Amino acid sequence: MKKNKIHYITRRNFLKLAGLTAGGATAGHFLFSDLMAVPQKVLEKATRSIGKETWVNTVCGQCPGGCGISVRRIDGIPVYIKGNPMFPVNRGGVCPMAHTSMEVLFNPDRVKNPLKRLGTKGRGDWEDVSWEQALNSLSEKLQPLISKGEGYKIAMINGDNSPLMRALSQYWMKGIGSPNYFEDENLLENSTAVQLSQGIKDTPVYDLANSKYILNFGSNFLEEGLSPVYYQQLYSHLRTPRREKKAVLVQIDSQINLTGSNADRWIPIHPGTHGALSLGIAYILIVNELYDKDFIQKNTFGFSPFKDKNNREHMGFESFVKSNYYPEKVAEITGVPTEMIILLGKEFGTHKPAVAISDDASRYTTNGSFSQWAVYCLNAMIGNIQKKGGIYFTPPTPEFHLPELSLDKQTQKSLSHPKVGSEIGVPSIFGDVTIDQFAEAIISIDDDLIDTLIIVDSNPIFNSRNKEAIRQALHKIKNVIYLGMFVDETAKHCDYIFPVHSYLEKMDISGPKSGLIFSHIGLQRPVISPIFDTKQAGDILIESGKSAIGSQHFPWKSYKDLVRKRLESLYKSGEGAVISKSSDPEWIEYLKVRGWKVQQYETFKSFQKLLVKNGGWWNPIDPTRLKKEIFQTKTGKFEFYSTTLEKALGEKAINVEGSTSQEKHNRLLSSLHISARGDDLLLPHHEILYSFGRPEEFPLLLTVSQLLTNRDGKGASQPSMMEMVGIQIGKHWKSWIEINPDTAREYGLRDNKLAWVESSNGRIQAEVRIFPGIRPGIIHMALGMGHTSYGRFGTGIGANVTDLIENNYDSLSNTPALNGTRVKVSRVLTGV
Amino acid sequence: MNNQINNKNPSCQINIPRIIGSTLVIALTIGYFVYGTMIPKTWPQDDIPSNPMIGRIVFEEKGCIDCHAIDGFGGDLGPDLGRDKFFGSFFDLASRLWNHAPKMAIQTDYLEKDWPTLSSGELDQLISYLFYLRYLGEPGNVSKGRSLLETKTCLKCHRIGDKGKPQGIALDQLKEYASPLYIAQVIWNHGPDMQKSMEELGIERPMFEDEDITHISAYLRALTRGQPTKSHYMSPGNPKSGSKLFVLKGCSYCHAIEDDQPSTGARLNEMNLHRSVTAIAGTMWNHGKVMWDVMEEEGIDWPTFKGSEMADLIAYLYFFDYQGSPGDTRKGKRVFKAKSCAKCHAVGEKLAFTGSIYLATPTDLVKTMWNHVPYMHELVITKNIKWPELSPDELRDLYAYLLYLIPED
Repeated sequence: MKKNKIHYITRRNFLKLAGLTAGGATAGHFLFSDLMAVPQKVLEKATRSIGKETWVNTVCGQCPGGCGISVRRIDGIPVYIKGNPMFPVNRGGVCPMAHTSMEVLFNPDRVKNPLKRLGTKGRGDWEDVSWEQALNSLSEKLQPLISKGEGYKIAMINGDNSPLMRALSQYWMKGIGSPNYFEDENLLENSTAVQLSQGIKDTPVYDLANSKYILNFGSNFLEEGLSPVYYQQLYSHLRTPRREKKAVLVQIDSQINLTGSNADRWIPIHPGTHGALSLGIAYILIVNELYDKDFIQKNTFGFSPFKDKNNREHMGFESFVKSNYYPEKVAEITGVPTEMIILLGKEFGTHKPAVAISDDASRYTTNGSFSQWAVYCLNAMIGNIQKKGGIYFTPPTPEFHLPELSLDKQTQKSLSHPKVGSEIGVPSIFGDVTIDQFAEAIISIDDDLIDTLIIVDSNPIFNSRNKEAIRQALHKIKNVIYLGMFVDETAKHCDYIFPVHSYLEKMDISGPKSGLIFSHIGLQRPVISPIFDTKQAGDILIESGKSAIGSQHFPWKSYKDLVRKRLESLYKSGEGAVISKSSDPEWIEYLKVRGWKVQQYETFKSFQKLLVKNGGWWNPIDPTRLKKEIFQTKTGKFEFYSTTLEKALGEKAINVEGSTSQEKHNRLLSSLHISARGDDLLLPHHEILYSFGRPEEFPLLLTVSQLLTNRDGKGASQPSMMEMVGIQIGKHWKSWIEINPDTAREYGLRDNKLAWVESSNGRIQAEVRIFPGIRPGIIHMALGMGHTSYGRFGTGIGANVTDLIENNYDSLSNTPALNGTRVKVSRVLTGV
Repeated sequence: MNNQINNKNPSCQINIPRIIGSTLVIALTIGYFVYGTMIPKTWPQDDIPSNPMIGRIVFEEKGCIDCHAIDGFGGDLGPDLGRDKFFGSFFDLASRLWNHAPKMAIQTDYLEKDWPTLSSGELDQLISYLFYLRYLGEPGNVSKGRSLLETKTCLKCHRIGDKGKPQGIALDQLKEYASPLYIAQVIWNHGPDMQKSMEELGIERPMFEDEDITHISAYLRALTRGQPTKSHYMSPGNPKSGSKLFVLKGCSYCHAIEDDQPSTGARLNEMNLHRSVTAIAGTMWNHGKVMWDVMEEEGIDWPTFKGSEMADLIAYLYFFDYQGSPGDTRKGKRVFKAKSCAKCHAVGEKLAFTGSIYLATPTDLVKTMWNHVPYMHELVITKNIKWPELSPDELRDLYAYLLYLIPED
């Protein structure tokens, strides 16, 4: 039995320890310190061995980006990490977090063996148990439920971004007969805009490398998003002096972030008005006839007025924009001057190829889907869908299917139960049930809804805006099993912790990733044997699945075996090539049009050997897909008037209370905080941001972003990342508030002094950073700080901005509305 | 007794036959050494590449791609090596490499790049890769493919859409069409059956020229586009494996490799084998009828191919004679003098010249020459000497001569 005692680290201690460790490393010794807990067996190996150097290629697991890395090992002990130059995502580049992966591997606060809760939930008292005891206890919980046909009482929250792990988790849940599979918000796709116009759930790929003019509506692609290093590579290509004419990058955002500071022009805009600005630009394209008439005529629907099957007239996008989004009106909404709107429209219409992109600031708002849709339609207006320098869609990877599950009637019945939380709150139009809807259902319904919850690599208590509901739900559910590496905020409230391998100790698949112009698979492989008594999450699922529903459904010896099957499917497809120094896209294309594959392997064994050695596979073919594949709408065309939305709203409205369909429809829209009605609703339009806070009480708007050094808070386990967390503005080991000098003056705030930020949700304290690169009236903060339980480096460092953010979602996709909460600020008075 | 006589008057003991015999032995010995060392050496016969594609890495890593494109992909300072393909022996390509060196030296200076030095292995890989490009063929032409299928007799047994024999296999519904050579291999494997059917039906055997198979393949691929097809790409051939297949499949039974071997069919060195893989496959198909008749008569089974066997065999045929014939030491000596090598490199002191270089194969010589280009380029400018361009034969003879200068171990 043990109490979880942690010796917390301050910045001063960190700098001292870092100095000592560096000194020790220079002297050729490993140091067992507060920074790196290198186990005794590893230390002994290091002192006994001859100092043989080897390099191993694998894939970084610090964020969903999936960069290829090369790990330098001395006598099999990893000591250094750099980018794998062959890997197509990052081509040798990596972010700071990849460099400090050793701080995750040897982190002194990793859970080193399975733990069982002692005392009440959340107290943080644990006893050590063996894996046998741990897995038996899981099995004892699962089997009675499954045998009674109550598999639906088992739920899972998965945050592991490995596509194979996601597939296995869903397969596992289906096998036990549970519909209650939830995914972490980090795994959400940025695809609603494409879905509205094209009926497919694909994330658009921007061919930035070939664009001449990039109109960026809030995407901080150099720092956030799925793969910042990939976009950093593209950005450096944009800036290469070899190009005949430099591409122009215009950043439209309320704050200058890393991408904005590298742009040619920054257009400050009111948060949540990106859609309105893009419609203003559409207006300029229309009145100056700068749009692609041929593309519009042949490939789109709803641009011009039309009559439906009931002979009802619809105005179409062109007339709608002309009537509602003229520059003067757009300037009023967005705060962007009319002359700038006109200039942007003309530039966008005349620079070829141009592309309009959107994410982050324009996405994580209550009107994110409508804003992004309006931006996306600009691309159709200039006809750059599947054109060089425009928009593409990630080509598919060779298919891989897990075996077909033959479910008995009892399991099928269990599976047909409604998902827990689907009756709570507002039904999302395109999104799934959220984790906090699930939690609200658990705490608001007396029934024993869920008996066992398995959480895989997800920390909803820390990231959610509805923390208390999730905490209460975890307390109410009898058995909560946590699969992770640290006793984080969520793990603390669980019954068991099953410690898992770090990504440097496991075998897994990374990719395919949406948003890339090629399809690829990265291979994560162990660079060191597990240093603690941990397991791979996939192995836990396979072992427990075998004992719960039978080995026949899990015909793999281990998760590694499943990874091998995935690689076999790649080999058998004959597509693409193992990444190598000679597998550049042009050469693969050269061979492909002649019917050849890159001659790298004759057998699966040699294919696997090369893939393991080089770290990945890719297929950089021409990404152009057939029109019928990318326009899967009712009209078979790109839709400015979304029949997809029309249909989805109709289906959702059926279950809404109301005496007439019109009443149901209106109630549904009101509950979603959507103000538009009629044709306006089904055309790209601007919706006003929704916030609980009253403007009179909370006059400022809060915007947030992730940092390259911390992402959603995972970087907080690494002391070097906390040291670098605000390196651009000179902040270390703390949170800060970015505020415009005028706004700071108005509220009496001073640079580097503490201030309160308060919303209708709560209040936090952080240091003020007066910054002219932010619009007046805005407060900006970084996500991922303020852990209350995340080891000695993360705990108590900074403030968690999600404590302020209202629990709102985008009206269509259930993407969290992280931006746009109304707040107020005040000075922290000395002695208060 | 003899000892005594010899001891007494050794000078008087003249034995004419012994003298003649000894002289003959000495002369033969000297002759052997002189003539023997004049016999030029080339690579061992089995020293052909197993994966010529690996040279692509050298092509990229050494920066050749920065100036030379392959079919439009790459730099445009130099000629596109995919379009302006060159095919001969190793020496033909090595000669081109050498002759373009001064131009390249100027460009590397201008671009402030380091001279890309090469190891023997890298040079071997690079040259065999460039040599291999023609083998890989061209993308097919869909309209040519359509017209070929319609004009050949294919549609008498097969069908495409509503054209052709209604009961025949629908060529537009087959699943695997990506590789032209895959099609060639399938056609070859059912050659005897096809032959019988054609004879029974009185159909003329279709003959394939140049890129006919490639065009047909492109047409079939276009027809199946958008269908749930499973692409079947082949590995380009492995010449080394192909050399074994040449014997295993019985080709060597009729086609001699060496000049002194009897040959029922055409000798390999009499054929034009430096063509694309599908062109060679077409030639093989075209002689199938004669081959089938002979084999039937002699009771030999028709050789079939699986996997990448056909590609391997054709790659071997393509690489046949890659090394070329041995050079002539005397001519090489003249080249050495005429090209002014002697102005800088001593010939009288063999070891002084050869001691620092290793000439086990011609690649070693070309590598040494290549790596000293920057120094030599500066020197020829300083001394106002013309860059000594070398024809393939001159390079071959030069190697033979320099090899002759190296003492045997």
